[in-house]
Amino acid sequence: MHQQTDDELILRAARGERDAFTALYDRYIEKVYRHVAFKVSTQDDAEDITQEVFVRAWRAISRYKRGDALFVSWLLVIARNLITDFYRAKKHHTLIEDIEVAAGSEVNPETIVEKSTSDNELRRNISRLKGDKQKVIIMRFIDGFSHAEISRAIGKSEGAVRVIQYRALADLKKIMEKTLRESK
Amino acid sequence: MKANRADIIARCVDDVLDGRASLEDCQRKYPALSGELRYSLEVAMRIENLRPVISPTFRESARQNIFAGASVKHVNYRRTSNWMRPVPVFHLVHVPLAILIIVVSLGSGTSVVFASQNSVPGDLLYPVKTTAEKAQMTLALTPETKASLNIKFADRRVEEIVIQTAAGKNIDADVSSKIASYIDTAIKEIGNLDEKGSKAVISQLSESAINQQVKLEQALSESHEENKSVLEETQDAGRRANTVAIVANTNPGFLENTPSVASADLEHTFKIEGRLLSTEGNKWNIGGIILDNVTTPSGKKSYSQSKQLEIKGITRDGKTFISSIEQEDESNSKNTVTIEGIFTGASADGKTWNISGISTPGLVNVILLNANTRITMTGMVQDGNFIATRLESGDVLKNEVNISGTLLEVNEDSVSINSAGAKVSVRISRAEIKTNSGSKADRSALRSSIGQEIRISNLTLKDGKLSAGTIYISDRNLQNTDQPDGARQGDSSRPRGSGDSD
Repeated sequence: MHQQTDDELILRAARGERDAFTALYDRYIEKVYRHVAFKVSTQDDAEDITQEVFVRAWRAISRYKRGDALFVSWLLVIARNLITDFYRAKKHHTLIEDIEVAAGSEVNPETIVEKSTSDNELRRNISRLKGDKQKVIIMRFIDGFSHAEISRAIGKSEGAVRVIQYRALADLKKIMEKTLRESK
Repeated sequence: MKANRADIIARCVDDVLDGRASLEDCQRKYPALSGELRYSLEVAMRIENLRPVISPTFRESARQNIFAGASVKHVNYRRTSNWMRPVPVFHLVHVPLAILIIVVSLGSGTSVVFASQNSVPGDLLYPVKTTAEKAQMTLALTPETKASLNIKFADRRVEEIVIQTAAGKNIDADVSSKIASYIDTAIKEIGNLDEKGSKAVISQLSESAINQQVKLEQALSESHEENKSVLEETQDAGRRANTVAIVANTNPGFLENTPSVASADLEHTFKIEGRLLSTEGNKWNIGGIILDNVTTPSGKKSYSQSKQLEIKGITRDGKTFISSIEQEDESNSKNTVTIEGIFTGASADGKTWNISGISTPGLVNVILLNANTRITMTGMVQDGNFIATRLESGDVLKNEVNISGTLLEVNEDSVSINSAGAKVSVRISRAEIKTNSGSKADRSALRSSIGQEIRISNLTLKDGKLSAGTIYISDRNLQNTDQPDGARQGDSSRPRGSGDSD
């Protein structure tokens, strides 16, 4: 059975066909939820925001233009805006710290992974990655996008995405080394 | 060169995480990148484990709410972008009409429904609780939601009997069959989902089953005699539910003919260690032990003959469902074969034994055991046939709570394991660490087991957290802990997607 493309479903949804929008919902709800839930603190908030993303997307579907961005990228833009509003309302701030690479002796990598990373610590470390590196790590390992999807979303080649991923994991290693040294 | 290095490592991480290759495969192909591959994969897996899991109930309710115009309960949203029209501030919560009608008709209101949540059979508000549950069930439209609700209600019934036991009350004799019925319905609904859609609910089932078993084990220790058989039957159902979750997580075909936790056949799991001698169609010969109608875990790559394997699974309706296959360290193998499972009977001449549904050459001059005894039979291969040389037997470990899964992380006082897709955290501050053969091991050996199967036994629940009694790791990790870093080619992450049967 032919699985309809996003464009075909969007066209039908824009005409008011709910089952077409539901198909888009089913296709992307997990990715949107993961993206949101990773950035907010409670399941309730994540569910509220995720639902609101699709409520707004349904209302604005007739104004979505294929040339602007991939549909899932559009959903994630809505999600990011809602998350920003969420934190403004709660007066929370997310700090992104500069990465300082300390010269010095290598620490055993297995020790780094084991000792320096509770889940919260790992989240903080990811938030310290800059720009595309943070984006690629979150889209690849949290949201679950493939390299091909990420490359279309951020406008870079797949090869470039893999290089960014490699550098981001290397940066995380450096951050973890720094954290481990500081904790001793 | 650097771009190639980045490309290679990123592709290998992808392949291992998606089950297309193992870390060993990648390290063999790119030995110069061995250490970096291992580290990158460990970090990537740790990050993946942060991945939030969507609740099936929310997924279903949101699907309907987006068209109902329902909106957020807690936060005021303001205009954020030029291309989006202003959004009003919402205060209302749109409650599904059916629940509203049912609650209003009770003449009570939502606050009473909420107050009834902690009630147990015999309490004044208990009928409100069960009526609200029936209302929820009528609104459940998809197999996912139905499965999730049934698991949730099974949990509630277990919680109720634990509370009643602690209060010294008598438990209804038929509550264990009610709980089994909830679990069976959940399993049936999971069987109506496709492989991808079933993962989250299978994880929920596994996590629920583990927690139920631990709570019931503690309740058993406090219970008076009259309640013990009901608690034990309920524990049986939970243990079997976990077996179903573990096998179905990797082998969806197991749910085709819906298994029931009322059936003791779900206790008949097996483990075989031996050399893979042949695979003719779906008939496998492992060290002379024949497995018929084999169904392997989905996405599993094929295995070369003459590899030493450890295979776990269960037989049912004439089929063999494999839940995990692990390649063993060749240096330990020699010619030994072992099969562990439940002895259920022997042929009239005593030559063939049925062990967890597998016909196995037995030990002819041994006094036959009672049925339903868990045994481990060891032997060797000669001319493609299994020759048994030693037998160990023990009581069926009905009441010991064990879990098995892939070790994800080791912290100061806890570990996390992946059991049937559920991430389970267990305290280890008082745990003994041993190898599967019984040798003492230490934290270093445990850390070397990240990415591999471990077993945790004698679980207890305290302050809502699981605590391990004993942790069992592979013997090869005890050998590997003294090797210098970068020389550890042997211990590695397995391709994801494999489960384990208990």
